[in-house]
Amino acid sequence: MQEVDGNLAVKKSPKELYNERVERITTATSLKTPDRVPIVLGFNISFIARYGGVTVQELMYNYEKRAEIIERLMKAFPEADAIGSGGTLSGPVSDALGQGLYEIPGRELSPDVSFQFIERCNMKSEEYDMFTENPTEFLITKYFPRIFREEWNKGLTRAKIAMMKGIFAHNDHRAFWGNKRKKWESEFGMPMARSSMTKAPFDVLSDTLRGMRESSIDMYKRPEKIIKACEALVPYCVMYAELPHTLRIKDESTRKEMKPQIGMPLHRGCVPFMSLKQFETFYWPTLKEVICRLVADGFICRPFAEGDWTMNMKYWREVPKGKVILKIDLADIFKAKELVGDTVCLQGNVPATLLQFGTPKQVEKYCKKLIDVVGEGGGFIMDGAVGIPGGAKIENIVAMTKFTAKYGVYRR
Amino acid sequence: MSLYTPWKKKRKEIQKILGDEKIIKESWEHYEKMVFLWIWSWLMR
Repeated sequence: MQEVDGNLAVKKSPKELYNERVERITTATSLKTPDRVPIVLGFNISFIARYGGVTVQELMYNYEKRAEIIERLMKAFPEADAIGSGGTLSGPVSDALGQGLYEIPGRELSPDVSFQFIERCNMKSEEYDMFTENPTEFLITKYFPRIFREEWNKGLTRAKIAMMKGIFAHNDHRAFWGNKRKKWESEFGMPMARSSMTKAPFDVLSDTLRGMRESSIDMYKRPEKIIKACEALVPYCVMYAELPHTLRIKDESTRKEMKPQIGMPLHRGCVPFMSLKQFETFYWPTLKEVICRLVADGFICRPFAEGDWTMNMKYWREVPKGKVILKIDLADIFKAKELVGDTVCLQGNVPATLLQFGTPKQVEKYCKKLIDVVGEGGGFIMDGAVGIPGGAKIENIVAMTKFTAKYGVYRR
Repeated sequence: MSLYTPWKKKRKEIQKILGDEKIIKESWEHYEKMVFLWIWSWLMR
């Protein structure tokens, strides 16, 4: 892929840039009009690999290489106000534990494709009560032996050594990206798109514990069990989002602090995964509770409405005003502006197909419509519908960022 | 909800602390938090 010259005739210091970017995002989040429409570029790991001319496998093991390519991308796209660095799955951690949640490029998959989640049931129907009563106990004694292939099956000593290796590898991974985050903020003035993450309680249950098929059946066969499990998960989902901030060493600089943004990928809540009645019963009450608790504790929530959430859009009126950034994938973002634009900031949604197969002119036309309609009066952040996908044409990313930086100006 | 082995529980298991209890408590809780994140990272994906 051709390298982009980001025209680094930027005269501002990293600190000035950081403050400016934070101000832009913060203002849009609070539903006001910043100086211009903010731009977030969430680079998919496949895109980073393609831009750097390496395989995805290499990036899952060679963190330094991945960071070096991301720095090149930051220089190429100085209009970005925050970036995503391609996910948190690590090759060394996966190997140490023999984790079976994902197929990994270069292991089960071709080296040049992204990792793939494996849909599987890791909690039996009769284990609901055990999980609800003590989730941590359940995870250690039942879940881990099912998802870590280096675990119990190969003997206690090997299992314990696997766990130790996994934790060492995890700490290396965490420390590396923590340091890079600080470096990118101080040397590039670039905030990260999210500061920690959590999920909707129903998605925790459906994604990795019961699996799609079983959780769908449970909505008919054991509705009370799902509700109790989701309620039990609420404090864990909140704590998982908040703890990284209490552990992170406070930056002593005088930079503006962006309110921490909690990424929340939403997987199975929208129609047609479940009806609106099921959504109201099983999905929304505990997701809303997690969001409200996080907002009350001073966080900004950034749920990513994966799939088409158009039919579920009205519920977002119930979250605290100006504290939620709703990232839109396939939903009608123009209708979303009408329905919930006075409550949540909208982020998105240049379609992945357009970024991959369209022309720069077509990308500019779509961005213009987004800025004119969704950007009207503020409360809008420009982004790809699924971030920047692996197959995106570089000239289309250039068109999206340059056009938005120029046309998306509210005031000079 | 609390961390897996909260300090209150651990404190009862330690008969005597001759130095500053706060130092030990903070360290204990730090690693309790780290292990919480590690365990739950395998669900929050």
